[in-house]
Amino acid sequence: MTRNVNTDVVGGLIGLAVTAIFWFSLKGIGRLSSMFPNALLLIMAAISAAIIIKGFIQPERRDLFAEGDRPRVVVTACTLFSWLFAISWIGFYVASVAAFSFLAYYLARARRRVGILTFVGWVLIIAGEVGILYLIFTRFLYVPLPQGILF
Amino acid sequence: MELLQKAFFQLFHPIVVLLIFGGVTAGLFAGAMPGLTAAMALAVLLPFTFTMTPLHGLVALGAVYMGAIYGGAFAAILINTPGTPSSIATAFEGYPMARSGRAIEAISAATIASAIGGLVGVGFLLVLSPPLAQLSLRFGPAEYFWVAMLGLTLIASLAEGSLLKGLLGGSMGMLLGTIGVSPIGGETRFTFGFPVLQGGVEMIVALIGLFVIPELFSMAAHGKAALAEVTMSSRERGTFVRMLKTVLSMPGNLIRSCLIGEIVAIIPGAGGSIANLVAYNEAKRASRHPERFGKGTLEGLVASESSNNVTVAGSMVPLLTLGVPGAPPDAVILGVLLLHGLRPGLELFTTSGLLTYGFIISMGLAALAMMPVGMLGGRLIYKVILKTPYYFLVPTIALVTILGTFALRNSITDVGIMLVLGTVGYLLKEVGIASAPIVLGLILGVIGEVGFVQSMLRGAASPYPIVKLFENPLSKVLIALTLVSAGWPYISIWVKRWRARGSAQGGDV
Repeated sequence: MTRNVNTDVVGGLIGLAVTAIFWFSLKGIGRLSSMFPNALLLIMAAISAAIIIKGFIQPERRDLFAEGDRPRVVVTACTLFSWLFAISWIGFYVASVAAFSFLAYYLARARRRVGILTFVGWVLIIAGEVGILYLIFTRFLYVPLPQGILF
Repeated sequence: MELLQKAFFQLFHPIVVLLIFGGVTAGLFAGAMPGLTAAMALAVLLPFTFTMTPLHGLVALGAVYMGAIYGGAFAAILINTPGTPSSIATAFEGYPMARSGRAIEAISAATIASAIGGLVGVGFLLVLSPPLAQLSLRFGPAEYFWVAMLGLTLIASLAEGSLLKGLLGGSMGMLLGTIGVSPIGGETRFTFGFPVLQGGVEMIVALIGLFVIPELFSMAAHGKAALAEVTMSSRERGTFVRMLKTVLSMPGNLIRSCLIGEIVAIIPGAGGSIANLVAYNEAKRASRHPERFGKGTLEGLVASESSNNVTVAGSMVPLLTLGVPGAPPDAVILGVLLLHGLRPGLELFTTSGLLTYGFIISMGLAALAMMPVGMLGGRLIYKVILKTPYYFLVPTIALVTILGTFALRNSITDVGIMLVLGTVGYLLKEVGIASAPIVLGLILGVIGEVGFVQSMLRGAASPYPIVKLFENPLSKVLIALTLVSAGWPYISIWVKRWRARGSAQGGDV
């Protein structure tokens, strides 16, 4: 189900909310460090107010999140954030193979049926792909990728 | 002239040719990988140059630099992710072209425009170094502030539909740039209780997050890859020659974009990330069909790619004459010069002239080498992306972006910031606030803040310190340009109405 909303009013309110959050964080900061953000916040508040006013006079309406399959976006986003936490916890290589395999399996189900043997084959390919990048970054580019409790 | 000839002929050596082709190839793949910047590619190469002769070392670095700036176009065209900040505007036109099955056309045009830009930059460097270096010296804090404001008004063209929402996005980006330690006061701001935010939001982290993550979500939502599946048909054969003719048939666009690239390049700190956006904006203004921009037009793509490659040699002007690196990769080249006992200045063009001119000419040869290397590499990358099923492509892009983001500062926090910004960018896009103005605001925010606060400090003794922003003649020129830029959408509407009225009256008669 999608909702047709006035994106001008929503956008303007987001702008005002961001302005307020930063404005309250600015208290106690010296003149030199607050000079530019102060000016910027005033401008942002004015632009946000103008967008809201425009939303009442000449509104732009749109169905939010109308395109595509929303649950897939949510699952993809959750997988990416879980991937991030798993990297610090169990290590870059293992976390990446696990998250990559899950995401590939989940997204593939939208297009085709994935058997166990096919999936095992995919995991092997993914382990190789992640392994090559792991070696390039750690051995040649000297980037110390997070180790975690595994590697 | 004799020195130039000698410098030119010393480059015809198998090792030099190998270094040029190898450097361009390595730079191309580094630039095509989101997160790996030209500066990183040069820094990785740096230790290998220690054992080389000064000329070989500089030739290799120049070729990698040229290849990396050009390589950013590949990711921009094929996965809507500017490989380097110099290719932001390339994505605006290249990606829509790729989605409509014109990826090879886009790659060919980007290759030709980049090669032309590279050659023009070298020409400028050879001829105009001393006067341009003088001009760059006249840029003070107020001028930098107005350069940032001029850039901000470009949002008028970057915002899809709404100027106000574009300005809001740009302001949000500038605000994002103020997170962390203040560049002038030195105090920590807007960390919201998270000490990890003291280091601020790295521009490339934001760039990757805001451009890549929304695209990944979109691919996941639609259940298919974004690029149209087209076969290598007979129509694609001869694309390069066709594109060469097309690109050369827009001399005005090329000259304007190259001039913009050169002017921006000589201002230390600006570089390709600003040049490509300014050139794109000016190409749109000058176009007979500005409404086609953002939908896959060659004019915008050519403007962006030619201007950003001009900056490679262009940024060497302040480096070789004043010792001021115009962009981060230039700092690496400065390091190599100093390592070999070469000091920037007049001496570099006289006593060490053979080496300096050899280096400059080798960058021109690297620009030419981009054509064969780019066309072969471009087709290879395109085919790989096309043949990869979307359910492998989405996690692969995610993996590469996570790796690239982490590698910037070896920081897992940066990866978190990248994902959060990407998710916020996806949500903001739904209400009409596009990612491009936010990124542009972030780039310009730091330049604007330093210029603004330093100008205020310079005017501290005066009752109206703000007057310092308006005093200099160069500032006045920049203010005029900013006003024209800000008012341009309204001016163009007025001009169209006036023309329509004129033609209607003509018809009546």
